[in-house]
Amino acid sequence: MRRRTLLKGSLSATVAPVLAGCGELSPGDDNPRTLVVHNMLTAGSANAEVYDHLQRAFERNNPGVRIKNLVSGGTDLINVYETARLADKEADVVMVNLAEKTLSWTGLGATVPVNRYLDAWGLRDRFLPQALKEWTDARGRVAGFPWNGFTWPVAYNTELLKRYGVSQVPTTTDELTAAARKVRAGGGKGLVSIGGNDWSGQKLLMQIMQAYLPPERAAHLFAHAGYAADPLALRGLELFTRLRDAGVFFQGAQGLNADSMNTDYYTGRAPAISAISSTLINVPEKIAAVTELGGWPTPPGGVYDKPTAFRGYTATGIWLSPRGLKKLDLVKRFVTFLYRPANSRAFVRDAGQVMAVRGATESPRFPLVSESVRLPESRIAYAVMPDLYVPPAVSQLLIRASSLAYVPGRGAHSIATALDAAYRG
Amino acid sequence: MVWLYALVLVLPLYYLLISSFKTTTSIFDSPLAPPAHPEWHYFGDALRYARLDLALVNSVLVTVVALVLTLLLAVPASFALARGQGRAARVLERVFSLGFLVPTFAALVPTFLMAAFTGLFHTRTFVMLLLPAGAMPLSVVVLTQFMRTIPAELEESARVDGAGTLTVLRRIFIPLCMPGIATILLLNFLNFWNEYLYSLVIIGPDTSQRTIQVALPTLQSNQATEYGVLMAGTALTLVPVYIVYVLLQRRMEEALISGAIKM
Repeated sequence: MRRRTLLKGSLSATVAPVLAGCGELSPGDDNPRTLVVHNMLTAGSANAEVYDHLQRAFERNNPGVRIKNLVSGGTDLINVYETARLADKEADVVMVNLAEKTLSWTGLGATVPVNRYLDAWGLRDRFLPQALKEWTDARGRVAGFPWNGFTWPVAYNTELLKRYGVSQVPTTTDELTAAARKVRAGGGKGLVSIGGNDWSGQKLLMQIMQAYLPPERAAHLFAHAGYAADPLALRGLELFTRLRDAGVFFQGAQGLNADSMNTDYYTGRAPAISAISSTLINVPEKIAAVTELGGWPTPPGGVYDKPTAFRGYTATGIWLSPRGLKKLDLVKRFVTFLYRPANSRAFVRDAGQVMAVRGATESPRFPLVSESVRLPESRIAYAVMPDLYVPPAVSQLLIRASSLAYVPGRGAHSIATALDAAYRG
Repeated sequence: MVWLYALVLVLPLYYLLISSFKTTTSIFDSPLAPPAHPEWHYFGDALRYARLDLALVNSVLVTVVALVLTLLLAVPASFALARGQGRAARVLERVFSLGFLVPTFAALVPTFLMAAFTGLFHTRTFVMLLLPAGAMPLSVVVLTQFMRTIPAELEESARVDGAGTLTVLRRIFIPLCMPGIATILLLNFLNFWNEYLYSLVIIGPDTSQRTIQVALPTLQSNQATEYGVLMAGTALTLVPVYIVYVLLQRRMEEALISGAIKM
């Protein structure tokens, strides 16, 4: 009797919670009235709040329809989606960037090209031509609907520059090194704060390296390596080392990251940073008021006659999964709802996003982001963004290799060799 | 020296706690300074944004069920191995030890395939069953050694009094092995609670199912993380760990003392 009671107790203690837990598993995944959207909207961000608001509006406009959101961080999302796809349990729609591993999704059949829906759903004309180009692969397949992107200018704190005796924003490398000398002489840690130890430092290194590289050649190098064998790449890297040794970058840049770089700028310690639009969103009003946006100064004889910046529309796209095909009507309703002009404008106005659609640029709450979108091509030239070309397996290794470039004493050839080594794994 | 060591242990906790009340800028600007203007709302924000309340319940469910299963399997297995005199028992004990040789990452793909094959992919149930399997080698090896220290005379006298095998296990071996049981409970609790990779891949990101370790990173973005909220969320995940540690530490001490008296 006691033995039975013990067994019953043990079994119920174990099985009951398991069964209770099973009761609510995957609610609505296969429900034809539920659309599962996997996104990487950081909980609590302005972007997520706008999305939540629109999702509720969509559900109100479509009685009986439910949007079920799955949220993961960028890298986690990719891993989770890929394994879920293998088990045929992936979300219907995925909102993620086009870079690294996702570049191979269309080719592998992990997601469905959206070419036919661009016209069928009347969306083609909504997108900026550059955005559609970036989302189209070599075989003409459009990987997903372009959603938002980024601008990546250089932010200069003009008040701080003036305090160090620099009267105007530098536009050439000579002006840049002269300004850096003044900042150092005035007791500053450097002219440009940069996260030499992460993606922010890698992008700036690649931007400076392109000074003498024609765009097609830069794209080829990013895709296939060969930095040490390319005299123009080496010349660009030599320029980088000259700037580094002239004290342009903050002391100890090789150990800094994007967060410390942003803090340096937000607190008024850094005269300049290479600032992606998501950084510009958070610049405090006091600093924003004295901020002038520009590009990275270029050398005489380089391929760009104006300071350079990056811009792109690959930060987020709306991808359709094979399971999503089974709920195509719901997907169509949801996607076309998001791309309504008023709705995509809400992401610009209330979350400071750089959208891949036409006519969504003004954001009074985020004036620096708006200004960065409007930077005229008479002042800025756009360098080749490496992320679309660097192979998925190489990206993280390349970031680690790039951090070596910020170590004082490293020569151009040594940096190029380290970059090439990243491609060999 | 002891104070220095204590300081080394306390410093990260201090940093975590004070950062839970500071803005991102002040965290990076003055990392070790106490908050000048505490942001009390970060804890509420973390709970609300990432639904840490639901995630906490899921983590408790997964961890408790996995711990119960581990004990239900490891205690009888260790009992049998400790009492076994033959060659088979020695071989079986070594087979359990082989489990230490399987690296976590190496088991991921086969585990995923098993989850997909059994139809338990994207369920907590699979992880509840998986975690005890991973914990068995350590649990069985530790408990077997504890049970071997129990004198055979105790079992013999119980048998003379008419006790069956289950009674011997329940009335003699389990009470005397409480230090070992508390030890494996504590170690496995920490492992189960902090488990991330399998919870992420197998359970997935569904808010209604995900564990707290999977929910927490959703507070972090690639480019603009509000570190105060992230730190507050991290501090919240540590509270159950601290409670269990304190509870089991006491039990372990009590069991050690009572075991010594009985012995």
